[in-house]
Amino acid sequence: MSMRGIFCQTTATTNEEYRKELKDRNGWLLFMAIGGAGEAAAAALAESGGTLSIPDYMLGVYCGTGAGIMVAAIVLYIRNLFLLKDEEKLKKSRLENYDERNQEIRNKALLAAVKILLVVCFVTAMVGGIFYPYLIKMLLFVIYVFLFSYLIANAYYKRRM
Amino acid sequence: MQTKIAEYRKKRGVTQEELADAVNVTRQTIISLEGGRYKASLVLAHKLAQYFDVTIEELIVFDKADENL
Repeated sequence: MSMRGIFCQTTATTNEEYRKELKDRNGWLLFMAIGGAGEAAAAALAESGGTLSIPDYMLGVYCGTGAGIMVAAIVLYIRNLFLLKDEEKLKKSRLENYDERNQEIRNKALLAAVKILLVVCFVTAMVGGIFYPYLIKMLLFVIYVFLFSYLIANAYYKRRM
Repeated sequence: MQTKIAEYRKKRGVTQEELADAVNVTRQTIISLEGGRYKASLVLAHKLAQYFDVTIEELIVFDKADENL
């Protein structure tokens, strides 16, 4: 529930607004399910054909992530359909996503997770780089992307607030 | 900072659930506010004050030095 909340914050103050938001969200979930199914199918086909020069374990990863995305999207889609039919559950879900305390908890948890992720990336890059030089390039690239994204987002919100 | 939310709520005879519904938050948020573990945003404080028909200062007591000029 909490993890889902990262992507499901809402500004809807009424059930009607939330209903519309859920319907829009379901459109995206269908798109995700089709994308995931496509990824898994393409990987499975490539694996059975054996004409591509992609390693087998990567085809397995593509197949697994595709299937995972598809299943998660379908589960959320069905859950949203049930919510749309039940006014009481819809209201409960809206309040859980709209509630300012829940939003603050999510933001704090996200901030803590980002800090931990950055430290782990940095330490892994420094230590792992001794054994796998490619690792340091990749992890430092991730850290630079984060810092750059942060600067852009910071500038954007400074203008807006 | 202390809140008098529980006091006003009991005086009015409303449950935490009813109050939560009226101001569009979860019951857990009302529990945390009453217990002093969570500070309401300005908008929520305003809604609560409107609900009880009092001022924000009557509902929330800003007693700490860093909360006052």
